[in-house]
Amino acid sequence: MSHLRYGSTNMILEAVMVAVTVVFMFPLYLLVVLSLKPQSEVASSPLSLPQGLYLSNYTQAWASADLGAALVSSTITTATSAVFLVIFGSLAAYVLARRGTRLSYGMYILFLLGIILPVQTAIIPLYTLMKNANLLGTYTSVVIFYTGALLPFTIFLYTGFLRALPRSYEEAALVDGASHWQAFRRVVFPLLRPVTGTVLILNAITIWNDFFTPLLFLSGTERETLPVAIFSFVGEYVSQWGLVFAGLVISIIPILIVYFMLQRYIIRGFASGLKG
Amino acid sequence: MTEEDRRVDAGGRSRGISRLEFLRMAGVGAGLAATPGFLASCEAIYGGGGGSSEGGAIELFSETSLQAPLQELISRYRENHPDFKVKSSYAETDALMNTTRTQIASNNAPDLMQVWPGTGGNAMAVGAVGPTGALADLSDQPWVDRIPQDIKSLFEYKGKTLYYSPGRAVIGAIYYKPIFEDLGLETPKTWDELLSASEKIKKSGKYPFAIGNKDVVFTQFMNYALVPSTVYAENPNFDEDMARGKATFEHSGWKDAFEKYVELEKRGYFNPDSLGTSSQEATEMFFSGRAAMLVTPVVGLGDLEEQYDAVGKTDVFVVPGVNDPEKVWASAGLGSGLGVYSESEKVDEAKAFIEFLGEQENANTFAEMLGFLPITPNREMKVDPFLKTFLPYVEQGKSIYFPDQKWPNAEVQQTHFAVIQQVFAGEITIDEALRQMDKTYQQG
Amino acid sequence: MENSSYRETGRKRLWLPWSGRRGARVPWRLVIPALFMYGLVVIYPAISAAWWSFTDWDGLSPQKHFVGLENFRTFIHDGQALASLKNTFLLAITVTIVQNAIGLLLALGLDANIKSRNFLRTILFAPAVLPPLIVAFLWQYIYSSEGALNRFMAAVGLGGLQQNWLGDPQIALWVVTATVIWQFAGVSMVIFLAGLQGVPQELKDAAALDGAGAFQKFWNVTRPLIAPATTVNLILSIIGGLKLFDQVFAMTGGGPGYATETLSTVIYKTAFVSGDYGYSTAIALVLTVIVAAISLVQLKILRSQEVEG
Repeated sequence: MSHLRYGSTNMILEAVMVAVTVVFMFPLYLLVVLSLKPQSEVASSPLSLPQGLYLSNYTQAWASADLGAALVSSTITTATSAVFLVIFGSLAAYVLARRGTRLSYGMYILFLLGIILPVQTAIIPLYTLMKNANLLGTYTSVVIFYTGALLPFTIFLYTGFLRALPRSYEEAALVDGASHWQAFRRVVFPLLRPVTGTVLILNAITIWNDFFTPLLFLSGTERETLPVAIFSFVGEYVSQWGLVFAGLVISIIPILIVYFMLQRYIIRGFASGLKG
Repeated sequence: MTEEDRRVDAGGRSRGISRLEFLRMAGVGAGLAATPGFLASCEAIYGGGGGSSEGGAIELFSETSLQAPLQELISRYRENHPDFKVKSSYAETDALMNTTRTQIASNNAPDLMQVWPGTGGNAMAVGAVGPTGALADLSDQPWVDRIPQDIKSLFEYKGKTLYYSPGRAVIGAIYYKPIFEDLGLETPKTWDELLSASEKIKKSGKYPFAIGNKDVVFTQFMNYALVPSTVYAENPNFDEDMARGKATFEHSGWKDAFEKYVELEKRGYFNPDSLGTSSQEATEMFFSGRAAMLVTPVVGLGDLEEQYDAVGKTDVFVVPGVNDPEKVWASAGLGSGLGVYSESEKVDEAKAFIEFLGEQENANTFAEMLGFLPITPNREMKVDPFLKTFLPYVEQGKSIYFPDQKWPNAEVQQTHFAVIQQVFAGEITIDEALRQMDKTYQQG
Repeated sequence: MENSSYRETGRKRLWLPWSGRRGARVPWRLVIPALFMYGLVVIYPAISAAWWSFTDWDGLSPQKHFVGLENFRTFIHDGQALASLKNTFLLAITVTIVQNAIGLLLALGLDANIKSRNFLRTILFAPAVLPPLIVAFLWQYIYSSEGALNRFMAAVGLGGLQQNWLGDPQIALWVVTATVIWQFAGVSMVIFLAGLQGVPQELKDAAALDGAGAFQKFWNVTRPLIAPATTVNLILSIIGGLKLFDQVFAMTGGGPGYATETLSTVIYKTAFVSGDYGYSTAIALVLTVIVAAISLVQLKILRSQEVEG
């Protein structure tokens, strides 16, 4: 592998990428800086580095919005939904990508429609359904919602990459007497690691940041998620933006950590998969 | 690839695969089956049970700013009613409105919900929700009799009082005292005085007005502060005339208000790029002393002063929309408040709480904590010092509600926002702006 | 050869080398859980919503009256709604092209062996993690008249080019577009990176040995092999761009005036502000049809470019 070499082109490339990143990151720098300033300093000099380490935004936000509980709540809903999405989505994609019939293509398009349809507009029938099933205020309601709503996107990603995956691997497994389920589980799914990683992180972000659905399904309970808790600082006339920012920084860190871990797994996964 | 895969490839022992495979499948199956259980145990840890009606607790869904006063009043109520349990949730205006409407449409509204006053200029106004029958009738509660006649209709739909308001919010000009003092300025009592004060401020290098017209809600404040003097001082029944088709925006004091608004900008009394400045930025500009005046609802000014480290540096005056001080009226609209869900299982309990809120002492607390003026001025009330300037106007009947509270539909307000921006962007004239507002008004 | 699948599936299997169209097919039952969840959460509500577009429902009251195609007729005569169509297309097309170009360049840059690549991949992706309201808020400090952008331009001598970035109706839409691209370039990058993992280094080395330069290596070797990633990215961007709501609404609310109104902001306002739910769902239906048509055509074109495994 030529990856062993680190020549001058690589060094220039590195410098360029770092420069691009610095420019890219300016708003994020702002987010952190603003969260560490008292409101008066934000008003007089928003862009500069904080004059002192003002942690009051963080402590106040954590306490008054009960961010600890919200963090747990967000983690439960996100993790559970993400797992279901990976399992159901990859299986469905396996069927749709491999069957090759008109019916399976039709079903693929049917799922694709789900990315196009505006899910929020039609929330009322689902809300009524949840109410009648006595599921309002439970984690189950939001997990069902996210799984159903994000399956199209998940299936789209899986199918897209599955089509490019050579069938020879699973063929060999089938020849050796494995069932489709086994072939999928032991051969195909491991090869889909980059996609699984991508699917996991992109869905996780959507679910983690979603505000309206948890507000609708979970308000009034202790299961409110992070966005609902954080945006409780925004009012009709007056908002406490410093607290919102502090809450946001707290909220972003877990997701970024997950992404950082996943993206190394993505790369490593496929690279070893190919050599196997 | 892993060990097991290689076994498959090599055409390995099927027995090994199937046993391992069985365990794997069982594991996955068990995992899936266990998830509802896992979720259920999460519920259990977090206070048990699903569903939204449990243990006789009343559901309250309200606006963020009401959280502090409501918590205070709820604990006060519980001193005599220890069985009163409330599950409360708070959100900001847009999300609150959308969520509540969704819940009403699904016959699952909260027992106590946030309602706005007026005929329907707002998606959750009394006039908008009233027709659905979702609001319980509060007309026979004692506090209803104490509502001043001139604003009574704002509480009602078809003659029935359907919501409770904690008080009046006022829109005025908050000014930065150090700038005024340095320039030796008095608070203006006439329009011309306002102009000359602004001129002096501009010459000293500060922005006379901090304007955040990127946020649509902000755009209306100046007009709302001007029309009490330019429209309603002459004709307090202007909205009734409009409803009967006897008056229009275009041929009324609204034109005067618009022209004055635009004149301020033409003379350079706004901050640069006012259309691209958010209201938050405008607020920051004001509190850091870069702008001298901020025309906005005067709510929680004391807290804001503390937040911005500007304690004692601000005060308020009524915007003089005309040159005759006797004819200056103030803007004092009804604040949003609570309504009771008519189909709630706990209607009577919820109504009892509202009755409690209506008692003078509690109403005073509510208004005080919110920075509102109480609906019915009385001797025991503690008026926020910043609102003292407005009190005489309200007491003498020289104030008017926010105009959208009597508009027939919510689009008029949306049009108002949009045309203000278009006028300042130079895309349309003031006459066209008013004509568009009339057109939307007439759609009923 | 005895086949254990006989016992496990109880079904006779054709003992032929698999050619994709014959032989053992992947069983349908594996798709059922997904179909069920999807049907429940998306299809069922969508059909109800489609029904509302033929009524005059206000989204609140129990009564709905059937009005046939009136909502659609209103839409065709609604000047403002039609004007928002233009903004919607401009935004979607620009975002799709530019965001993916940048995403691809970033992915290529970070696929190479540079020391900070794991860290950079995380950082460049980070904007996608931010909620739209916060993106709007943060960029306000950059776009305002005394904000970072204007100050920077003055500092490098471009003071004459300073603008009212969000307050000028002529450029506000482009400013919003640029911000959206900033936020999601990292997502395109991640998907391209996943695709680039499937490009064997050996092929690239072989091409280099044959004398191919960097661009030729990319065009002839890399590009065809990342076609699935390209398809995914282009389809997701066009759909996302046409439907984009949160960032536009948070940054400008559709203004100044109506300068940045898109179909999605119109749909939102007619439903939740004006209380005209029937009309709103009619517009949503129109938007869905438009998006579906465009993406299906695009999908057909892109899939034909893919190299089947």
